[in-house]
Amino acid sequence: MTKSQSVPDELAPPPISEAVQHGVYPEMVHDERARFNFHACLYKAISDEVSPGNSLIYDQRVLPKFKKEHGRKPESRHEVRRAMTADPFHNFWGALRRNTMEMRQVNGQLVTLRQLEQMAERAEKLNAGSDRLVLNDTVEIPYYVAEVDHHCMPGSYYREIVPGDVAPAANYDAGFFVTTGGTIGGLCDGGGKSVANWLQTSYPEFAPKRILDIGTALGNTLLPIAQAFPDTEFIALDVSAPMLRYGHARAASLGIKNIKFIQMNGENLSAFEPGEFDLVMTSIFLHELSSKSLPKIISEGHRVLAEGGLMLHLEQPQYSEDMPLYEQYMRDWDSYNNNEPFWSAMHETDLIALLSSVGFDAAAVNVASLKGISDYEDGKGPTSVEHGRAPDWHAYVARK
Amino acid sequence: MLSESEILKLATTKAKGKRPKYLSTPAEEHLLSMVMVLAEELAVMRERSDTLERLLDKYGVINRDEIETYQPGSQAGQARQKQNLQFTSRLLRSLRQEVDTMKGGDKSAEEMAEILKKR
Repeated sequence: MTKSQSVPDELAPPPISEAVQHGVYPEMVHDERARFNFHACLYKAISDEVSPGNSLIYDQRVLPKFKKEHGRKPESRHEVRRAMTADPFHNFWGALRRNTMEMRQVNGQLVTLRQLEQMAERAEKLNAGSDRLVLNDTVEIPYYVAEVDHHCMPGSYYREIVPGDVAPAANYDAGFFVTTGGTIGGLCDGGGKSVANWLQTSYPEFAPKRILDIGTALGNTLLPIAQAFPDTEFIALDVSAPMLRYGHARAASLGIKNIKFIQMNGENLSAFEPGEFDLVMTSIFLHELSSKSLPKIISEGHRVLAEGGLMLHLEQPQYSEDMPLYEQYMRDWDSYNNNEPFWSAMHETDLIALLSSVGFDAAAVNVASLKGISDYEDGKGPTSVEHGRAPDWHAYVARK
Repeated sequence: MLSESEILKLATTKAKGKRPKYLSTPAEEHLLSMVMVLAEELAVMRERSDTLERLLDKYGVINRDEIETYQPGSQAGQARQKQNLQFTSRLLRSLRQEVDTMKGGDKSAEEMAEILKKR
């Protein structure tokens, strides 16, 4: 590198060498890391330097053109989408974003596919003899997972090429650090830290004995919550064996002993008694469901929740009348371009109405705004990125 | 164990789901994808080069300052600039050739085929 740096240190996303190399983290050679480092910068540069053009062209030409043609403002984010996707600047930005994700996935596959057996072995060593990993090969991958390669990840969360395969999880783990540009820390757990922090401040007397997390994946978000409540027993559910194997091994290598990882579909929690849990939660999960499975999972979650217990769903903000249509459309972009097809429908679902339909008191649903916590001190470190990818979430909390 | 060619094939296989259309033509989509992969490779080469420099410096083989202050001298300087110029020409080939066609006289393959059928 030349000695003159035009970018101040605190603005560059950290290199992937700064991701925490826990016990099952995939090994990478020089150029594989260099590729990921480039992708992290590409995401950041597109966000900082190209993306601002989207709102500018919306104001300067897309909206005026729409008003001229229709004699009114757009009335839905879908109208905004059709207008924006007729604009060549917006489409070029979209092509850059889509290509970046595709390239990041290629690298993740190159890294993980060459070490399938080794990673499976490392996970097995960490998992052997543990009763805190319960797999069940009769659990089917639901169609809404099987038919969508979420975030353009071929094989999605569940592909198994070798026995004991953990590759999809390893790919996701490595890529997550890249796409978040370090904004949620070296373990990509800033979301979980935020939830733990918020729970402890908002409900200081809350002393849960058992917490259920549905759709845990590899546990980035759940681990800091488990650490914040060390005397609580956590049950982590997922339909994917690779995610669970990796998640359990990762947690074990990080010294977390209070999570039990179980292969189970959240639509059917008959394995649990009514009222068994003090907190039932999901994090960045509901948008990967379907219109029928979403209410089932909420309903089952309510059933196994104790009286006075809390249900918490961490998600990107729902669309509402308060949210400008342009912002709604930009938040919808992943739904149409990043293989997140249920995202659009999910974010316009009236979650409060859904919670009340399963028995929660609608008036007592709390919607809190949470920001991701990174390892960096306040004021330093990379700042947030575009709508839909920013570490800004809502927690929808209901008490039974 | 997957073979190298199996890994490469799987790694570059598309994810399920129709790819949205962003640009006016498939050719543009391909060009952009290729340019971005080139940019990626360039970044990787730069980082590898940086690693080499740092290691060479660390083991006392060269001093990094020497790279910054390196003066090639007349012969090496000319050789490097010739390479640079050749690269620039190759980079701009399609534009140079578009200019060439402005002079006229080019026949298409179909036109030539017709001529050759008759003569």
